[in-house]
Amino acid sequence: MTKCPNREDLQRFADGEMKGGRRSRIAEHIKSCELCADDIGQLQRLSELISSAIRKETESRDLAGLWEKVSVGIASPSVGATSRQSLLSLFWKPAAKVAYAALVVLVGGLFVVRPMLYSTGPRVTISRAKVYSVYQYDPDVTVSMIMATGGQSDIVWISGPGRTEEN
Amino acid sequence: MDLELVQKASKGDADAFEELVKRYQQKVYGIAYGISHDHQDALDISQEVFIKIYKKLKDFRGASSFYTWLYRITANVAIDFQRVKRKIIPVEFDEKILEEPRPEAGFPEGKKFDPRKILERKEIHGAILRAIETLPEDQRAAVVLRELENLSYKEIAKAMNCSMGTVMSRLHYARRKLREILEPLLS
Ligand SMILES: [Zn+2]
Repeated sequence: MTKCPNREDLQRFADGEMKGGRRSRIAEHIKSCELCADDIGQLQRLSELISSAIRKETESRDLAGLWEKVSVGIASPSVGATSRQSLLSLFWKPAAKVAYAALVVLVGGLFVVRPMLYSTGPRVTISRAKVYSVYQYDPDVTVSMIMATGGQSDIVWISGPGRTEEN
Repeated sequence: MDLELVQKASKGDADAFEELVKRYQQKVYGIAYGISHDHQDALDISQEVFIKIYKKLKDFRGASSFYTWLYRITANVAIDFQRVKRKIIPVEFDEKILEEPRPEAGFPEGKKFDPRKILERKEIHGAILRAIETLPEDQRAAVVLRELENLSYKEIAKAMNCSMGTVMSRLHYARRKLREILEPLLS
C-alpha cells in the first residue's frame, strides 16, 4: 500500500480538483486504505448535508416580492434598500459623510439619541435582538442600520461610513 | 440568452432586467441565505445585489463572465453584510446574554454545542446551519459557493478575488471545523 496522501490532497481529490497521475494514485490508494476512504466519505457526506440544508431552507421560498423591492430600490437614486428608507432619512444628514454614527433607542416611543463616541448612556438589553438590515445608502458610504427588538425596547443603530468593494 | 438580456437591460429595458432578476433570484437568494442564515437578511442582500448589478450593467462586458460577476457581487454583499452585523452587535451586548440561548441565531456563543442533543431532536439541517455559523465569513462563503453552487476552486477564487491556494485553505479550515462539530452526523 502506498503512503497516505495529506488532507489537502484528499480534499482536492474529493472536490474533483485533481487530474492525471495524482488522481489515479489516490484512487488506487483508497481501495486499500480504509482511513483515507473514510476521510473522503466524510467530506462527501458533509457536502451533501450542507447543500441539502441550505436548499431545504431556500428552495420553496416565495421570492415574488423581490422584484418589487429591487425595482423600488432602482427607482430611488442613491438609495439601496428602501423598505425602511423613511426611517433612515430621519436620521441621516447628507453633510455628515465623515465618521458618523448614532445609536437611537426607542423605548416606549421615547427617542433617545446617543452618539457612538460616548460609551456611557442608557444601556439596553438586546438579548432578543434580531438584526434586520444593513443598508447601503450611498455608493461611497455604507450605512449600517440595525433594528432590534429586545423585550419592550426597540433599538435602531445607524453607523457609517464603511467600505464597499465589488471589483 | 443572458448576454442579450444584459445588453437590453443596460440600455434601460426594464422588462429585460426584470427577466434577469427572476432568472437569477433563486441562485442569489440561496447563496445569500447560505451565508446569512436569515431569510430577511437574505432578501435584503438579494435586493442589494440586483441593485448593484443594475447600476453596473453598463460596465459589464462579455457573456462568459456573467456568472462570475453575479457570484462575486453576491458573495461580496453577503460577506459585507455579515461583517457589519457581527461588528455592531457586540457593542451593546450584555455579557449575561451569552449565557442565554438566543431564539433566532440558535448557537449561543458561550455554550458548548452538543451534537447528540441535536441528533435526538432530529434537527439535522438546523445543526448544519448552526455549525456553518461558527465559521468566519470568508470560509462560509467559500463553503457555500463550493457545496451549494458546485463552483471549482478557480471559480471561487474569481468570485472571492483571492488565489486558489486561499480557496483551498479556506475550505480546508472550514471543513475541519465542521467535521469536528458535526462528527456524529458524518460517521
Ligand atoms: Zn491512506
